[in-house]
Amino acid sequence: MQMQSEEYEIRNYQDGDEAETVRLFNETYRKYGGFVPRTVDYWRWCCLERPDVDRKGIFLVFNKRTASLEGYAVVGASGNVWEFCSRDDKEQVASMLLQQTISYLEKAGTSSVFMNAPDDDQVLSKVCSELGFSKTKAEKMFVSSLSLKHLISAMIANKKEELGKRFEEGIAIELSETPFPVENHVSIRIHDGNIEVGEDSPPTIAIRTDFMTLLSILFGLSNPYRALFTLRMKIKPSWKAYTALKFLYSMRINDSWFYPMGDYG
Amino acid sequence: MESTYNCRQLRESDEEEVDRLIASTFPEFLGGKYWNWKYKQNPHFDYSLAVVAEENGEIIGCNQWLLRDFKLTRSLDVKAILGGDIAVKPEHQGKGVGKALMHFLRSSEAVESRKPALIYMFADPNLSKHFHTPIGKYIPAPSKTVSYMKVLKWRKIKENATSLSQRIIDGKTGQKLTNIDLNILFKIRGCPPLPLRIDENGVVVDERVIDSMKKPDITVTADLAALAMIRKREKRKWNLLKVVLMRRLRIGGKLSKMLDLYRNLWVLEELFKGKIA
Repeated sequence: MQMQSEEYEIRNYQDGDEAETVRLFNETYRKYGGFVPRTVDYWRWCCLERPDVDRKGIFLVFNKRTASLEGYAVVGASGNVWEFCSRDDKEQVASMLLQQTISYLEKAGTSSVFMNAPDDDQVLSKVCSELGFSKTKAEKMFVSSLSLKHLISAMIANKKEELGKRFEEGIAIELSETPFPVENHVSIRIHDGNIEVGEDSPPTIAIRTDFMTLLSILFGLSNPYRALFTLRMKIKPSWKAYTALKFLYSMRINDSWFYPMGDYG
Repeated sequence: MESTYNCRQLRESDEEEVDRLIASTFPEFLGGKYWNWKYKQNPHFDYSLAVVAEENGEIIGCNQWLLRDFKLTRSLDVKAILGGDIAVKPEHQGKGVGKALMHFLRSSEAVESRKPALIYMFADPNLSKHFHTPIGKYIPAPSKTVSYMKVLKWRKIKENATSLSQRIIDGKTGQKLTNIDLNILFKIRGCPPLPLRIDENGVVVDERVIDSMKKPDITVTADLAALAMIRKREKRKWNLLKVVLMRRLRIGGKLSKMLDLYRNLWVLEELFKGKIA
């Protein structure tokens, strides 16, 4: 492999590199949700053992002075870049990796290159633009729930302290149009800083909505205030509406989601 | 006639029959090689999350789910189910087999005992709208993911041109190319130049003529995203106007040649239909 610079060197994957690639992947994308955190086993399956990936299509860039891994790309003969990582603000690293990717795929006779990236990665956006890539829509990911009790419990566990301090309520959520076999009733009891989901205690607030509206609110795609004003949600007693809306608003997922192509399967 | 099938968990002894089912349902899965990697070799593969539909002892469908660790937010890791591909024998499609497989998994003890916080999948939005959403009430994920694309070769367009020309010669297109003799050069940003020659015999892509095509009759300059917008059937005229006004698509050449092209625009519609690279 030829592409070198004064500061960085690029080479193909070698046995034992995966511990570093996994660490870099998880560090790079930790600010996002929506992906499978890498383990060495998962990375080996997802990248090394993938039918269209050859070891010659896995490139790693190292800092010559510190020998630290600065970025890597896993490129399939199909033209898909299954994983791409470069440390923040490392324009040169991203450029080296993408140039190597293009050169590798041109030699392989592949007709196009596809790569997923977070929309807010300005460095990658600039490098891609310079190298003649066009931005297109990524394949769609869809989410749903098999049990709202499990979903809400997980989301609450993460915000337990904040919710426990701000609320002292028994909230009953009644849902319509739930898919099989999701429950159409979820109770949340917040008392003395403790939160229990599924406790059928007498509610102080009753929320009525449909399954997809609640899901859209929880995933940050829709605003609970809007759901109330458009009559897709009802809250009783009405004088507790503001508390209920504040509660739903605090539950929402605010983080951006990113999924690399490797997560498609 | 109504299908009478039942769903059950996948067994190791089903392997060969499932391989045959996959080969007949998803030929693009490299004769099962890709399927085996995706499911059986997956570190998260679990027999209890794989089901088959059986009719008279014959496997007619299968669906496999994968339990994965998943980042719900930057600080929250949860267990999630990746809803995998559903394979149903072509002659049993449209009879509710896929729905029955999904319902069987959704209500299984194997899923309930693992307490997944969510289920997710990747799918064509159209398939999701008509199949997954009515059954599973899926919503689009809150994604900030974009895709970058670069064309290295116009292989697919060349294949499309060859098959289109053959259909024109065989009179199978239902339309004819009349009074046309055009050299068009597409300059798509980040892609190799795409020279097209359209005459009464059809359309040809020949990259060797680029040098001799010093002065094409029509030059189209655009980016891939603009091209994608006008390739969509819905609102095509509106999208065309939009990309022209936004100067993301420019067309140069003599007016008479442009009118020739406009009269035979269906050729370009056929050529750019489906995958382009």
